[in-house]
Amino acid sequence: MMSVLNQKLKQDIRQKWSMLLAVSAIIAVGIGCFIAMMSAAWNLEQAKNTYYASTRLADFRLDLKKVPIQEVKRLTSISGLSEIRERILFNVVLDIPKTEKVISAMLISMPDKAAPVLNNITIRSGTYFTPGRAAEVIVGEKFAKARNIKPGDIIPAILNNQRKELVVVGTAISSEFVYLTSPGSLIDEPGNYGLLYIKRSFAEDTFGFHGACNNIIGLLSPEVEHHAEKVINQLSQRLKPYGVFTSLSRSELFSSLALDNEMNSLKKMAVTLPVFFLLVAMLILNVLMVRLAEQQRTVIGTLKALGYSNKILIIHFMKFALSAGMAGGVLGIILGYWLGVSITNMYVIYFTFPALISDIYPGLFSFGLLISILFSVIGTLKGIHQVLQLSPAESMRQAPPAKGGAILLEQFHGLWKRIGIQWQMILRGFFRNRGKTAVSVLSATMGSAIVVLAFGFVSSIGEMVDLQFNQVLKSDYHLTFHNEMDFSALDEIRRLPGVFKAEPVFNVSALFRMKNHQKHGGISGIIRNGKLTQPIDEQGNSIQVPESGLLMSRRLMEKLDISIGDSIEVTPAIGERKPVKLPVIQAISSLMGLMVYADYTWLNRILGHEKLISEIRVITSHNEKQKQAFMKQVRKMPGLASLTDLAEQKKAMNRQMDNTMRYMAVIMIIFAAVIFFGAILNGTLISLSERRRETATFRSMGYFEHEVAGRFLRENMTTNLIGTLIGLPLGHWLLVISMQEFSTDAYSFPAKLAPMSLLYTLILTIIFVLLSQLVVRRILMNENWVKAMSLKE
Amino acid sequence: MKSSKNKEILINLDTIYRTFHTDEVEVNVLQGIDLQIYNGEFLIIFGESGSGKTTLMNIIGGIDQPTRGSISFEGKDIVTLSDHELTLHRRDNIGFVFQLYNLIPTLTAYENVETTTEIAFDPMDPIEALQLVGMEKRANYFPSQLSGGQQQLVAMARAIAKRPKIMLCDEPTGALDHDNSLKILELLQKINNATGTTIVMITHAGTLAAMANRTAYIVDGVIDHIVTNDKPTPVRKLNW
Ligand SMILES: Nc1ncnc2c1ncn2[C@@H]1O[C@H](COP(=O)(O)OP(=O)(O)O)[C@@H](O)[C@H]1O
Ligand SMILES: [Mg+2]
Repeated sequence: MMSVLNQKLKQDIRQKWSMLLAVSAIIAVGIGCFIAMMSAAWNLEQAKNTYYASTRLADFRLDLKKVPIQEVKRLTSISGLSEIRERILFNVVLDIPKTEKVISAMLISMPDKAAPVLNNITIRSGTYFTPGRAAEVIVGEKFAKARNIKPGDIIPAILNNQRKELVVVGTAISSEFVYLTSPGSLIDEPGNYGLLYIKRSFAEDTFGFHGACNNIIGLLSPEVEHHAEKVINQLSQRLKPYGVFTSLSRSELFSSLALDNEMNSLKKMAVTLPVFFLLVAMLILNVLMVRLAEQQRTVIGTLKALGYSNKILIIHFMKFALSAGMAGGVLGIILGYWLGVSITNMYVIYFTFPALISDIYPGLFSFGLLISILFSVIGTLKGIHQVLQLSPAESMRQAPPAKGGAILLEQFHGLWKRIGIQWQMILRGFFRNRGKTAVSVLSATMGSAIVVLAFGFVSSIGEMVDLQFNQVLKSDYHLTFHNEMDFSALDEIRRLPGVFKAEPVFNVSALFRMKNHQKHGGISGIIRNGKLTQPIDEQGNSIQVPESGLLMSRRLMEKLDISIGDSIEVTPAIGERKPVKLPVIQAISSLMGLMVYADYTWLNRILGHEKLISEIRVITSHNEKQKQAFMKQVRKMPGLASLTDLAEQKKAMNRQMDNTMRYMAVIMIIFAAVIFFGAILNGTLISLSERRRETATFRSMGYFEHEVAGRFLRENMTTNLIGTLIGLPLGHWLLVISMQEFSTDAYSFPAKLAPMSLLYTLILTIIFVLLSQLVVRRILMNENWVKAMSLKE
Repeated sequence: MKSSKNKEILINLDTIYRTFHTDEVEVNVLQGIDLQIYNGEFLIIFGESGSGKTTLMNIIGGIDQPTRGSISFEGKDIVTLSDHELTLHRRDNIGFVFQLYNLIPTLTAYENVETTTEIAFDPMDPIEALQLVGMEKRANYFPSQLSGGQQQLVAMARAIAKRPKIMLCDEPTGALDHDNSLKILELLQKINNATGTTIVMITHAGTLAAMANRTAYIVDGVIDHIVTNDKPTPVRKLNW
């Protein structure tokens, strides 16, 4: 008995293979998405975990002004602290020959002799420090590669206002800086910002830090892991007299944060995006199975009459649908693995690991297969229900004739008459096949929403970069200093060649506290009516800092649970470090970091200072000669800690976003195309098979092939354009949600959708429909309609 | 009609062969058909089931091409026509009536007729065509709301509405009961008489020969013989 059914199964599959393939393709894309992003996330996670463990990455980091090592040693008495390491850490300006630009680097002390310390570095070329020579340096590998620096090279640098020649002995990487950014920036700019490790003894001598340090890192014992914040706060409290600038737990370290954000985004996308595909696949399969049950009512009835049990028939129809699910699942796993490798490889450019390996996750693969099977089974249920409902006697009779009937639209008589029979036929057909039409519309809705989302990703990131670099930061360069300067520094900068405009900034590291919430951060004092730094409100409009009080990023306000008008306790990390209560005047939109702005003069006064400058922002001439002259002079400025080139930063930002987001967007659009093609072809193939006699009749009456095909085109165009029109707002809504989900303390993404994107989406829909039409025409051309004419339906 | 019995040839079929190639076997359905169809005549093609009547009809109507042989329509060769030209030929000259009516289920009777009038060169008004078959009162009915006989009447209105040179009816009463068949046949005769439209009708009911001008008998893929009938009997008077 089974062999007859197996024969039928084979035949069914052979007959409907193109429809099954369309369903499989959509499932494959969904599962592919899921597996690709999940395995990329897991690859990153694995690499991170092994790397962090093997190099013993610290659980926290404190930056302070200066603290005696004796004091640090006493900290070990704090319970929950299992190991501690002190370091000397400075931002310095390099004096690399033949580069006019000011290149800065982070200088970090390491033990003179290699030891398994916390945050240990991994030597990648050359050696660790050698005894005898003081001014040795181990260079961060990425920077070294970008600048073509090799062991044996000399790097001249300005250390504590003295020019020193550092001898490169090796290159290294560190788990602390998987993702490296300069202090003023949140983006990786290899070659513009470096990492230099020097001997502890040399650092002591150079910076006058004998028996002292300005950076503390440590491991917490396992018992306190879950309330790390408490221990870190306790530490901060103890070290308060030494001026704590920042205290960060491991997960707050920018490198860790960037990595975790990426993994989280991947995971979120991995579970949400596939839902669209699987849903569409399920619905299409549903239509397919219901139609199959209808078409085969006589066969089913005969089988039932012959004594085939319902169970056997269920299994038979399940097998048919499962073939699509399984094929989709397997294809999805292959696609997902391949795409996962490709995404993982993309991360190698940004994240520095000793090894970032694309692993195979059998559990994940099995889960993917299971999901695809599950969805295909659900897609079969209604068809099976129909099979079960059919009684043998009933099914032997011919199916009731296809019904035509008037639809609501026909009430508008004049209009209805004018649209012509083609459209009358199409519109009545839509209402006659409500379920199928709904699935066509819905598929287009999903597909276009994904396209909108893809466009939105690119334009939102573009908008963020644009707002940040064209609206908020209008300066060309930011100069920071090791210590606060007085106003004469501003005059000096203003006098430099090519400087058009210079404005002072007073940055204060501070601890914000509101009731039981607290967070380390900073306030930037900028001048009122200044031109170079213009905060924006939540609608993206430029606003001025108030005469008194703070502008605070909405996200920080939420973290601290502050409302507008509240006063917040601010403990500055400089001067007397006395807490003050400052009112929050307005919320701002902060694209990078959790910015807090105040008026320059007011902030100085309220903290008991006068015209202190920690940063100067300038606009310079773009004339090459003047720029060179400017750079030459700036390099000589004593106390300069870093120079940030905003044009470079913007470029780096755009480059990274281009590479990642555009890549994602292109993949998403390709995947959306699979939904469109799959759904259109499936719907059309079903229609074609149901209307063979109709089509043949039209041909015999003297309709051209393109006229017959035109009906399918109009149908598909209509359902898909309607679906797309619904998909546009859906896509926008998804974009808003995604951008909120992607936003972190580091980046905040405004949801921006260019009006043109909507048009492009519509155009893409039209292109997808037209391309599908090519296939439809091919099928029509190969159709033997002479034979179809005498078909009994 | 009698006046058009001056034997003006509308369609000339010259040694038509039609072979179908299925999987492994070759089916030689038509094996040298020679037949002239005269303008304005009522021609019946008679043959057993499977004898190749439909195949021949399809070739006459320009929806299928012979494997060998030639056909001319009004002296013009149609075997060499392109698909486009052949479609135009069907559009302008041929009216089909099928055994299973082949109405479009999503269109009303009126709209079904419109499918022809929309593309024809000099069509009737759809209502006029429906009046001709007595279905004007059902103009807004959908096929599913009509009986088989009524559906076939609409199908005939659809065929006639383009004012075809020839109507090809493939067992038009094959699926109908006696009374309904009678109606259809009467109508065909009426159309032939009133409009002078050439009608070719396929049937395997031998008694119908009396209603036609001529009856061609197909046996083994060739025209076995043709019986000419100088005085066709009105359908009502057929003992059928
Ligand atoms: N497209 C086709 N392919 C293969 N065989 C066909 C095709 N059309 C008709 N035949 C065969 O040709 C023979 C004649 O068919 P047909 O012309 O429909 O006969 P009739 O209409 O006289 O009953 C039959 O044996 C039929 O199986
Ligand atoms: Mg036949």
